[in-house]
Amino acid sequence: MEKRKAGVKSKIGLDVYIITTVISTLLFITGILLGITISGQRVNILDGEINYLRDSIENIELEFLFLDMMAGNISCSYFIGEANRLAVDSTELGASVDLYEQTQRWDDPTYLSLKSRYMLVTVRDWLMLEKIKKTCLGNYTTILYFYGSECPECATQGFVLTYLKDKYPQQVMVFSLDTGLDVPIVNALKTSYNVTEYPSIVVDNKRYSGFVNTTYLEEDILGLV
Amino acid sequence: MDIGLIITFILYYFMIFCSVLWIIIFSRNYKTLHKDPKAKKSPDVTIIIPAYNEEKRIKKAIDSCFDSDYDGKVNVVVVNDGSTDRTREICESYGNKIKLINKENTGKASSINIALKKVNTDIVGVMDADSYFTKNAIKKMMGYFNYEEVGAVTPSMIADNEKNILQKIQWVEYVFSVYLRKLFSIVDAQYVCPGPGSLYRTKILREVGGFDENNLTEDMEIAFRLKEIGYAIENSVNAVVYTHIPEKIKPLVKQRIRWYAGYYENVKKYSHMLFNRDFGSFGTFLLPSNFIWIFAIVFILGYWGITFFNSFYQMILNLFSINLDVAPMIRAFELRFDWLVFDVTQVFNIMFLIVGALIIILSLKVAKEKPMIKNRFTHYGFYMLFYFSLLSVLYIAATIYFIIFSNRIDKSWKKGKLA
Repeated sequence: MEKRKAGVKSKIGLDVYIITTVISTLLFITGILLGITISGQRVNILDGEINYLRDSIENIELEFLFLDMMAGNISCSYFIGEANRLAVDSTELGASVDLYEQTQRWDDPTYLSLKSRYMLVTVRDWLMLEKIKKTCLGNYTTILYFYGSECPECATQGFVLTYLKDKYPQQVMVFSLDTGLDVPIVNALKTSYNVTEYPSIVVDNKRYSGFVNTTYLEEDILGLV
Repeated sequence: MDIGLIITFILYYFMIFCSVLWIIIFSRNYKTLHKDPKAKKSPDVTIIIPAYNEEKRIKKAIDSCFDSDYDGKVNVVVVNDGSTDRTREICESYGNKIKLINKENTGKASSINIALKKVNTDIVGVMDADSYFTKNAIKKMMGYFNYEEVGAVTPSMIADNEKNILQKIQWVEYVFSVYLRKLFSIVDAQYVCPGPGSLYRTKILREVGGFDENNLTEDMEIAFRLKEIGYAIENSVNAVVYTHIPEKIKPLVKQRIRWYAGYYENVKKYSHMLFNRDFGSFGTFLLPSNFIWIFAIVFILGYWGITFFNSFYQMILNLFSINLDVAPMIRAFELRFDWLVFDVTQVFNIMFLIVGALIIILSLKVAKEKPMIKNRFTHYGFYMLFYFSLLSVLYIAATIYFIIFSNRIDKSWKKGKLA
């Protein structure tokens, strides 16, 4: 802008507009890049938690294999303990994933593959807990929860399941499966339990389609009260 | 990424652009911001004070004209616009010192116009009866009339009565507008000649036929009109005028809806100035950018408000779905501080807080007000975080008001005391 001279009208000069455009573009790009960096950081945290859970499961799998090989006695109190630990870890991971999805405003490209891995580890976790339950007669119930993206009742169903999990941390274990991701194992489970609508839950190999309210789930399906 | 987020980012860019633009203009003119030209002569000046039921404050307004250290003579014309309180009595106690016009209640603009006929000085000022000059205000403004093309000079307005929290937040807003008004004046783009204390060339005011009596904001209308016929409006930040600000939310709401609807009214009336290069930055940048600002404030708060409302509604649904048994949830609750709680759009919110703080600091510098961070910290915070939400609601209200009443704008609003 020209230096203001007495009696001469001033206006915003072209040079001011250019400098402003440059500075504000730089600031804007900095903001976006910072956002992307932080977004990546957030994915890394989830990545770490998923790996941790997967390692824990693998560890127990190997212990089972080892005991099989040695034809030794399985220490059920130990494995029930491990099952509870797994449940706590997967709950924490689930909470992290929820938190991530609530606060993520755009789709991070690396997140989709991460979510698929999360589904795999969830199914693995479920299988492991079912196995421990069968082998050691564990006193807990596993719930498979299928949800989709175009599903207004899913948020509430998820909340109800979280509530039961919080209320009975030793007895109820929930495994949430996102059906929108096209993960083969999730599709296979969907087919075998004949899941066609969302939300759907599977308890003890029995499928319940549509929203299931707290009282029915707690008293009739799980028989907890 | 949804469309709302994309629009939000575009508006973010626009907001950054404007903030940077004014900061650059500030920095380029930093040395001359407080330098007012020295008046070559001190012509006599007449101050018109339109008053409607102002018994509490009119004395201060009148006295401030006489207490001025201005070298020329200061005449005072008070127009008692049909007051029903002691306003007339107080004015009469001044005897011949002031000229008093008593008349039926017809509104502020027509009161000024009646008084304008009796003015015989080259420079005329308008002073709202609820405001007052500081000692050197008139003197500081007068120097700008050295230049032919200057049609009006505006003072800087500071809130007089900052007592409750609402007023203290407005105080910050007024300081911010001191900064903006000065920067607008540098690029010749002021669009309001504030009711409290603006000075005009009498000849020009008469030529354009005085103030518009059918306008929601006659002080904005006169600025548009002066711009239209090619006069410059100057501003002196040293010329401080104290003005009374609303104490309660209701009068504030009414005042703001009137201001914002008045803005629409005048932009409609002078729509040919929009994007018109003949009117400099006023037409090409300021008027259009104001619209985008209004849209930005309304959209961002509306969009995020709806997002917030949706999650709030979902939470209510959720709580009822578990029969309000929140104990397990509370037991399992863990407070966490890691990147996962960080919403990435907050990068920009933090950026705006920093820029906002910077602009408030610059505003305090321009207005020569002490920051008093300790005392005012919460007010700055409230101003930056919540005040815009209130304003956005008022912008929406003003828009609706303008659309409904644009053809028959409520005359009663123009009557009586207008803050």
